[in-house]
Formats: sequence, structure tokens, C-alpha cells
Amino acid sequence: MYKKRRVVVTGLGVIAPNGVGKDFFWQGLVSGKNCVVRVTRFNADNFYSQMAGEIHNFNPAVYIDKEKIPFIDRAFQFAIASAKLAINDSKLKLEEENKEKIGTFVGLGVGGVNIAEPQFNFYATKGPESISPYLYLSWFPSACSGYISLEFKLKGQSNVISTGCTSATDAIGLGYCTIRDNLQDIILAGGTEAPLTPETFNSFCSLRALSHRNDTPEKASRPFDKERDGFILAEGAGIIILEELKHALERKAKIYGEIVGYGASFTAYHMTSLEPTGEESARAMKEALEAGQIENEQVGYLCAHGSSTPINGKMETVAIKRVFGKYAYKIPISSIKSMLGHPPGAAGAMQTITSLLVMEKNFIPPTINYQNPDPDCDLDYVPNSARPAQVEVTLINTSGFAGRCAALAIKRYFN
Amino acid sequence: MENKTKQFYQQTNKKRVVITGLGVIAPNGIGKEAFWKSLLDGQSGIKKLTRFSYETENNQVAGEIQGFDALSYFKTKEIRHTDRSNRYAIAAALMALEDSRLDLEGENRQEIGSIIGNAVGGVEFANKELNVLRDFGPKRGSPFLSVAFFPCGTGGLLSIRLGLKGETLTVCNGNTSGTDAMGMAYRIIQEGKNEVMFAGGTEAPLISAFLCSFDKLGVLSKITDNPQKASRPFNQDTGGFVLSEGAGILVLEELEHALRRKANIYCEIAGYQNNNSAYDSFHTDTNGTEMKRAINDVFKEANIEPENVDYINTHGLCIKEYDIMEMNSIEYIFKERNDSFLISAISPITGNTLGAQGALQGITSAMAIKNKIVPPLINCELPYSKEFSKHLTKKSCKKDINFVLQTSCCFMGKNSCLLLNDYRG
Repeated sequence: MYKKRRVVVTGLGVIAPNGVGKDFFWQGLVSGKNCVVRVTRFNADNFYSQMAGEIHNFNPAVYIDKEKIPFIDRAFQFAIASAKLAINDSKLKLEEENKEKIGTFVGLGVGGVNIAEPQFNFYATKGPESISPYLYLSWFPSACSGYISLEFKLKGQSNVISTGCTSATDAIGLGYCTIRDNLQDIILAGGTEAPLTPETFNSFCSLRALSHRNDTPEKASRPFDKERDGFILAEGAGIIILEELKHALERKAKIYGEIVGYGASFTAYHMTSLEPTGEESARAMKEALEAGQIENEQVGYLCAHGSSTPINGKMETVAIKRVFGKYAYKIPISSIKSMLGHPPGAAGAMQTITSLLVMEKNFIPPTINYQNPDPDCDLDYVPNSARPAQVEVTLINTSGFAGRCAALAIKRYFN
Repeated sequence: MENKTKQFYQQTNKKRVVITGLGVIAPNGIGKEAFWKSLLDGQSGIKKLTRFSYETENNQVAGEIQGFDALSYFKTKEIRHTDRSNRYAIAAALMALEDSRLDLEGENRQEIGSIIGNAVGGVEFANKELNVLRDFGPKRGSPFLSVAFFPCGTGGLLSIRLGLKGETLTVCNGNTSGTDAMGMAYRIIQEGKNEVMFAGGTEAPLISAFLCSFDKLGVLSKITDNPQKASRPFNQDTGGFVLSEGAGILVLEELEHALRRKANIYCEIAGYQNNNSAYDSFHTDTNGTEMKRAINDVFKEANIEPENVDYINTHGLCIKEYDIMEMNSIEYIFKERNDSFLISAISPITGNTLGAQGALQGITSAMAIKNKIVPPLINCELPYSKEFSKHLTKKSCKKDINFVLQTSCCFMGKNSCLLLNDYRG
């Protein structure tokens, strides 16, 4: 019989509103630090929502040649930088590796809008002279994985997966399948997003998907709280190193955990609303658990989608109960979006990194801003402060745009 | 399939994958019959640009979709709320569904999904909305922008329309997106995740800002007085591509599933490989080191030799270094191994539809195998090399095709290869 290979995670790279690198990211999460602020990247005074999870201390010149920076969109810069952090963390010596066996799978929701939007505006107001020849190269999502492959001379598969809010979960899940099925040995997988431009931001405002609590940004992202009124758009990236187990063992790599299952489904219900029974969302989670041969009672932490929209809190709770039954009440569930906001294409990667760090540090980060219990959301959301816990298996749940659901099951590594 | 034997499939537990439906909306024809006829006749779909006026002299040609009656697929309201790229793909998928005679009512829709390739998202809708935002402020913004604009909108709309609950993915790999979507769908069915996949690509990039930017980059054809001759891959005077729009969707199906319902099988998919040259964001390695590897890998996957290939369906990007790269890769692999294969490219007839191009190639591969005809490579009056010109066909040509190699390449070093073969039990 054809044997499936095991896939482990050996490096983490993250750039999030709470900091650059996994250490700042983790410190921010366990201390329950809010990162939601009034938008400063553009003037949002006339917008329905005026808050975001922004990254303020990112210097692209640390990671990318100065002369290339103006041609690489902010979203792609985040991805390149996170990949660099992940490679450093993994202690991979790329020059000694067979780069034909190393691929790049990146999730991205939108595209290079930070360059494209001003370009389109220039074109409309100032005419053709103002347009850059590099518009396409700095706009098209394909560049996202392309720049990473180019930067590290990785000659394996290079794919950009765009499935909205589940993009990064899907990129990691597909990357896991690719190594498992012996098509690559190592994959840089994750997602990135830099959607804080007027038009992209407004596309979410017009959907009334964002929080309107403009006077108190620090209280605006409140997943599972009764007063939640929408999500907070954020930016950032997360890239992890997926590696075939034997390969990792041979080079004595530090192993954060093992990806044991990936499940995905589609509700086919509505482009921007959630399906009420939670059937498909539950199916994605079940598939991930079944693939990893995991019993419900083994799951020690669930890193929820928890976007803070009124419907998400309710439906995700329903779906979790569908999967776990009574045991749902015993699982610590938290949403890191309560602190960071929601970076659509990167969310799944940040959740995955969180889950791996939970197993390493034996702490579960909280859902902050949880003040008013909602009868529709009656599970254990680890309210407001981090909690010590020894966790052996975590489940990552994401759902979003158009009705795509994706989940990953991750296990502490034992041989 | 004689080479990759049944034993292989039994040993690996992998499923076989066939193509059972085609839907296409292209500048050279709407529907598979019109599309195929224009390919065989060598009738290019490139014409003078009509959608908007464009002041730069250089590029007045484009591959526009003309005569597409959106109202026969969508309500007026739906047309207002979607981008052109959404509509092309959904209409092409409905054509493919009809062509496949698949009765969705009787199917388990958790086993049916879609993978759409797309390079730039709904830029026409986004550009229009950007003008609204600038001139009238954020309150006038359309709630339909996100769906029309984000690349994943198309797959979502399609799956909702058809009630598909299986894998719903969007792959954004530029020009290789269509081939990659087919390849990924093939893998998903192969490993038993889904039984049927709607796979292909869609693109509607014809906005003046893109044309202007591409022109400045120097990648557009300078021939504007004779649109039929404007797109000319593999020529010594190849000077750039013609930007086009369109969509191609194919129904990929697990073999036993197709046999059970006595489906019309166009061909089988025998292998898929993609990799990255990691050479430059814009330029390519003209040696084609990685493209050669992709081709060799796909042969290895299918357990065939270069001798088995009858027809190579090239990408023909019409950018000189990319054409040379594709040609060098093919020459290197086939030289002294195979003298009888034929080469063509559809790009002189379709233009460059970016994320849809691989899907249009896929439809061409399927039609070629089914009809045992290789479509011609037109506009190739001055081929780069003699070796290459031996394999060109200037008129459509009868050929008993077993294996077709389909190659795609793109900026950012992306190379993809798909191998298709005649289904012979």
C-alpha cells in the first residue's frame, strides 16, 4: 500500500499587529494586549468603521533590498519577511537542501492593493503618464508566493491560494497534503494580507461586516460577547515551515507539532452570510479530526475563527457543538482576533502559529473584551485572561467569505 | 492507459480522472464548437479594441468577448452586482455542466467542487468603484464590491449557484492559473476527496490602466494595423502579447463515476507538475532548466517517455524570452527521441487571457484528443529555429493523438505542465 508521510512544523514566522516575530506575537497574546486602533494608514473619518489592526513597527528594509521595496506591495513584503523569520527559526540551511523539493504555498485574500489603488487613482486623475510599468507585477496575487520562491531560490511548487478568510488554512492544508503525498519535502506555507486601503476597507464597510464602535477601538473586537457588532479588519502575515518528519529528524530540527488532518467544505448558502445549521462548518472540523484519527476528548484547545460578527459567534458555537456534543463545553476556545483584528488571508496562519505556541508554552491565550454572556454563545471562550493548560491536540477552525470552511488538526509530536 | 497501468492505480489506491464536459467563452468563440472551429480555421479572435477609447497609439487591439448574451444566464440585477470575470466563468461552467450531461439532482454535492484560476480579480468592477469612492465618498460604495473584486468571488458564486459543497478553491498563479486549477482538481479527485470538479480559469483584465501599464512594460504587441497578425508566438519578430478576456471551465470526473453514468469521455488526465524557476520576477531563464524538469517530472509521474507524446500544446506567451524558454525546453527533451510530434499554440487566436489561458489550452487539448486533430499554429512565418519549425503545423492536421503535453509559464518563474491522454479503457 502507498504510505502517507508525516508532516511536522519546524519554523514559525509572523508579523502581526502585536509585533514582529513569534516572541512578541506570543507575549502580546498571553498578556491579552489589544492592538485595535483608529485607522492611521489613511483618513477614515467618513467611513462606517474607522478602526483596524495595524502594524506600526515593520521595517521592510530589514528583509528586502531597498531598491526593490517600492515595487513590492505591502502584503508581499509581509510574506517575504515572515518567510525569512520562519526560515531563521527553523535553522534550515537552505544552501545544503535540495531546493527542487521546497515549495511555497501562500494564502492571500485580495491582492497588491497598496500599490494598485493609488495607481488606479493616478491613472484616472492624472492620465497615463502617471502609471507604473510594474502595476501588474506588484498587483497580481501570484507575486506573493513568487517573491518568496525567488528570494530563497526555492524551485518547488509555488502556489497562491485565494479563498477569502480561509486562504491561509487552505494554503497550509494543501501544503500538508503535498508533503504527505511525497510531492515535496518542505513547504513554506501560510498567508498574508494588507487590506488597509480606502477601497478595500470600504468594501467591508459597505457589507456592514465591520464593527461600528468607533469611539472605543480597544473594545470593538469582542468575539462571542453579546455586544459584538462586527469584525475589525487587520493586516499581517504568518508563514510556517512544513517539513517531512524524517527530514526534520535527520537534521535534528526543533519540532513544534505535527499536522495530522485538514478538512474543508462549502456551505453553498450565501456569499456574505453564514449557513444557519453549521452542518458544513462541522463537516470541515470532523474531517480534520478523522484524518488525524483524533477522538473528541483529545482536543485540548480550539483556536476559533471568532471574527466578532454577530452571526459568526452564534454559528461557530453551533458548529462546535455539532462536532463535539457535550464535550464542547469542556474545550477551551479562544479567538485571537479579539486582540489582533481579522487579517483575512493571514488569519488561518496566525491561528496555526498560536496553536503551536500553546502546545509549547502550556498556556492558552484569552478572548479579550468578553464582558456580557450571550445565551447563543455558552461555551468556554477563555475570557479575558490567559490560562495555563497542557494541550496535546489543537483544532483550528476558519470559515468565511462565500461559505468556505476549513479546519486543521495539530498534535504535539511523539514518535 | 497502457503505460501507467491499472496495477499502479490498485497499488497506490489512487483514482483515475477523466474530462467529461467543456464550456468556453473566448474572443474567438463562445461554446466549444465555435471555439474549436475558429482554432481549426486559424481565425483569430483578436480585433480592434472597442470597449473603451484608448489614447496610446501602440495597442489598439485586444481579444474582447463579443456576442455574449449575459441575460440568458443571469438576471439584470446579477449582472449589475458582478464583475465580467465572474459572469464569464459561471456561464462557461453552465455550458460545461450541460455538455457533461451530469444530473446534479442525483449527485451527492458534498463530493462536487470547483477550482477557479484567476490572475487579477474583478478589476473592472473595482476600478469603477474606486472612481465612485473618489468622487462621492465611502457611503456610496457598493456592498457587492468584495464579491466582484476578490479572486475567490467567482468560485463562491458558482458553487452557490450549483449548490456544490465540495472543495471550493481559487488559485492565483498568473498565467499558469488555469493549468494549475486543472492539475489541483485532478489531484483532489485522484486522492478520493471529491468525485467531480469544475476546474478552469477566468479573466476580464481589459481596463485601460492595465493596457497602459503593460504597454510601458513593453510586453504588448506593437502590431495594431492588422489585428489577425498581432499575436505571433515563436516568431523571430515576436514583440509582445495581446491582452484578452474569457473563461474556460472543464468538468473533471472520477473514472468509475463517469463510466457508471455512461458519460462522454473526452480524455484522461495522466499527470500534473508545477515548479518555480526562482530566476527573476519578470525575466525568465531562457535555458528552461525548471521547465525541462517540470516536463520530465510529469513524464515520470505518468510513467511515459518523450517518444509517447503526439502533440505539445504550448503556452506561447509572445514575450520573446519566454517563447525561447519554452522552445528550448521542448527541443532539449524531444531531440533525437521523437520526430513525429506536432506543436501548436492557441495564443495567436485567443490572445493572452492571463488566468484563463491554461483552461483554454486544456479545452483545446481535450478537443484535439477527442477529434484526433491538431489545430494549427498561425502567424508563425519566421520560426526561431529549423528544428522547431519541423514540428509546426500551419494547417489543422489529422493525427491519432494518444498523449498531449500542455505547458504553461508565467512571470514570477511559474511553470506548469499537464499531461492528457486518450481514454482507451
